[in-house]
Amino acid sequence: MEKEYWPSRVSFIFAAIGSAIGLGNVWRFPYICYKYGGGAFLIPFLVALFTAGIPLMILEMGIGHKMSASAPTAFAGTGRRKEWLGWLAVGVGFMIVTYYGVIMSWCVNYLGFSFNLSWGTDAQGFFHNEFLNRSTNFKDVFCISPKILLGLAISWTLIILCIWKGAKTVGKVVYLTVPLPWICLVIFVIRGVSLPGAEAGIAYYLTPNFEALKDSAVWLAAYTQVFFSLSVGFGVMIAYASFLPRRSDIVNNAFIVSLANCGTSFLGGFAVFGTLGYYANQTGVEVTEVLGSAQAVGFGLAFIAYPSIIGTLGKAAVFFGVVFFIMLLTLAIDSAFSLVEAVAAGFMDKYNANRLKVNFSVGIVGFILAIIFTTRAGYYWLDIVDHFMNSFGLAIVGLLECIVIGYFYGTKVLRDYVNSKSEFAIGRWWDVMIMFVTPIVLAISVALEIKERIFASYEGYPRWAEFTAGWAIVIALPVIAILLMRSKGRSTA
Amino acid sequence: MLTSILLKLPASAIALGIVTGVILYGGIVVCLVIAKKREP
Repeated sequence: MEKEYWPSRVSFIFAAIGSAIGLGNVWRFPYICYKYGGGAFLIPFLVALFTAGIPLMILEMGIGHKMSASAPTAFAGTGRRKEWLGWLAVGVGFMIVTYYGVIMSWCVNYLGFSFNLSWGTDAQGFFHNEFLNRSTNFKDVFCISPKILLGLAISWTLIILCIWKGAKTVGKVVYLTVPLPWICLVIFVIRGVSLPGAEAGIAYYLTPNFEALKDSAVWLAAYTQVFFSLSVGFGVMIAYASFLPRRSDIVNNAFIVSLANCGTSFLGGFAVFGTLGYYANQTGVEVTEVLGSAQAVGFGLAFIAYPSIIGTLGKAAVFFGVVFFIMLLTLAIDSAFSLVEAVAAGFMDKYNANRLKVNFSVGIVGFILAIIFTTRAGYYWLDIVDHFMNSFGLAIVGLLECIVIGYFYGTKVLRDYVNSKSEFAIGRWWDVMIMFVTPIVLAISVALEIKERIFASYEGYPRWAEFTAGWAIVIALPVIAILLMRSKGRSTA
Repeated sequence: MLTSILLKLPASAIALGIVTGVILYGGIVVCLVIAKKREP
């Protein structure tokens, strides 16, 4: 099979940025920032970026480029019986894309709702009761929402079309899907900071509480935020870097992608805090009350708070509604197709499989698995899978990547390689980050999460549901990864 | 508009915002300047 390459360096950088920048940049970062010391959080955030985020980005891009292969084959090249780690990485990414497709479906539906502001004056009731038709029973998994299912089908169709011919198609699509959300975000920043009461929100965003820096939880939150938002740990950057020609730069590209991702989060904070400040002003409540509520983060921010605020913008409401959901959709789509591409590349490399067949197979399996999330109890199942994949899946993959490269393959070997290709070199500090700093932080993060889950189930959900959608998947993924490693592929034939 | 927001922010908030912006966006500019014009 002919090796795929990016049409240009810009295509690669855009694709990697598009993969890294996702919904979390807009709906998670500002909330975490507020929760952990406001402006003071930016200090551990930047420290974490340079001591864990960028080193891991260099590791993934370096290994993908050196081995010129997707995650499973690349890790197979690092040593005996290491291939399963690559399968585990793409497996975690695949589980994430199953529910990411459903969130895209919500965005597709809300894009349609924006034209007549269907949520009216009760965005919360509309989202939970009318749109999701949310049940209180976890076992309510047979009543599928036709609207969400249709949106899911549209989302998967878009994902498959975007990776139709691999790097060649992705390289063109990202010229639309990366700048477009940035333009939308800038529109929202300008609108957000110009609304009455915005300054109160922004003051909460940037005013530092330096006392928070003494709290280890703040530092841990900064490291996990950087790690989760960079799209490392899914095998995406490994697959994307494998499509780079031999003489391509690694280190500079890794810096550009990581800085652009965090720069987008920082910018997104102004849009979110400005708008929430306005919301507090309009509803006559304290900014802290709005910022501390469930509506300031995640689904609440995107599908309840923002629609409510958009509804108050008079004649421009429809415009801002459409722009907002186009922004969310384009933020999500390049992250989603990068995850699918990482899985597809894994199968193509190992089994020499036909791209179209692999794309369709991954798409169909992903679509079928996601159907449960379109049901009346889907919200809960999605929430559990999301939490477990982020808290355990990603952190464990990142930890194992550091151990494999740091203690088995050798950081010097990889560092010498990336330095031989790059526009500027990395020093021994990188070895220290990969061998000690990043794995220690990730190990602590996993240990604390295990401890928390032992004492209480996630969000107080039933233990059986937590086990089914959380622990069972966390346990099953390494088993599947080992089975895939042991299966006979092109390279092991 | 921007001035009225800045006036209501404490100096430490403005300083942190500027430093963060310079590191993130300035860093991107420096990387782009370093990047040679060559095919990937």
